Amino acid sequence: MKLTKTLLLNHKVNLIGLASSLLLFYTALSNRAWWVVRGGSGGEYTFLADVSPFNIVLEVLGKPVTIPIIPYLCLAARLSILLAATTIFVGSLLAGKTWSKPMMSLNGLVLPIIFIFVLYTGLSLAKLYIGVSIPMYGESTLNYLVSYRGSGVVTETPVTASLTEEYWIAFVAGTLSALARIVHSKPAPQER
Amino acid sequence: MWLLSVIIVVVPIIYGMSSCGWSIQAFVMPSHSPPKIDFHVESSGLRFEDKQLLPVFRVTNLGEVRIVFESLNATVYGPDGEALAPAILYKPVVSQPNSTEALILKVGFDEATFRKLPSYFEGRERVDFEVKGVASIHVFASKVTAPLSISFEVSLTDIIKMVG
Repeated sequence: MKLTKTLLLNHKVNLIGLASSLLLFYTALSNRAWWVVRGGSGGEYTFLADVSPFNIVLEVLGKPVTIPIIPYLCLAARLSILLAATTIFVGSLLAGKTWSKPMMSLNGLVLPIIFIFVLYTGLSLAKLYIGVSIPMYGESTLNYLVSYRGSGVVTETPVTASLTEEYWIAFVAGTLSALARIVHSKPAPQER
Repeated sequence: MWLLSVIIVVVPIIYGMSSCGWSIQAFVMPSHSPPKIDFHVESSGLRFEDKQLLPVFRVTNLGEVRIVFESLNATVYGPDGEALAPAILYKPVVSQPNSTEALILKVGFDEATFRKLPSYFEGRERVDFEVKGVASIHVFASKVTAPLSISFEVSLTDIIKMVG
């Protein structure tokens, strides 16, 4: 109770909520990738992808791959997190009001979790339907068979993939928003 | 609050679909224009070195990307289809877009095969030999293993020069 009182500044301001909202603002406004994959090495890449919920860059053989739905999905994700950050920020400043509790959104935590799930699903589908095996984390070699002038040509590409610092910052922001919601839920002690 | 969240997610997607003429296929279909990767190989002569035949080819890069011919693991076949000797790449070749480079093979005939070569020229001045095998090529950062089949012409004069 003493800790809750401290974190809520005597049930007036939710400090954890403020911290998480600031991190969520940073996350939503940053264009840095959460997950990167490189096919190749030494500065020359057969393919590359820089993926985050707010910005996706895909290149194969030096030329971009465009999917019309992507910018709109990224905009939706960015607006969703900006809304969450705003409501958490306002709710944190009004911790003493009972109606501020619904403002402590969990979208900031849901997004990094959904991101990993979608990434895993996407890579699994790519392996199933295109025969392209790309790791979610680590190094591997991608062997791919293409047809060229009626003959089978085997390509071998070293692949490295990793989650970036940006992902973990977003995850921490989301975790803090969940903690802020828990702390926000603690009722103020009755005045004697 | 959840209603506002749903609206914020759905509205951009609906707007995007409307800009694609409400076609789901057009909305989700990826588009990519890969660079052209193509090359042409043709015979351009012969060289000789230490009783080894060095067929010279001209490789023209007709594509938009750099291609590096790193190695070759092939066999030379005579006009009768008999395997005569192994062939390897004399040295790696870097082929830039819209350029022509010399690609030289090294064919190591043994003594027995050497003695057999003149028999192919009975009644003929020139004979075609075929090189079939697997080439190891670098395109971008990928190693490509591709079948290769090219031919080169040898004249009786060339054989006499080789025998020396």
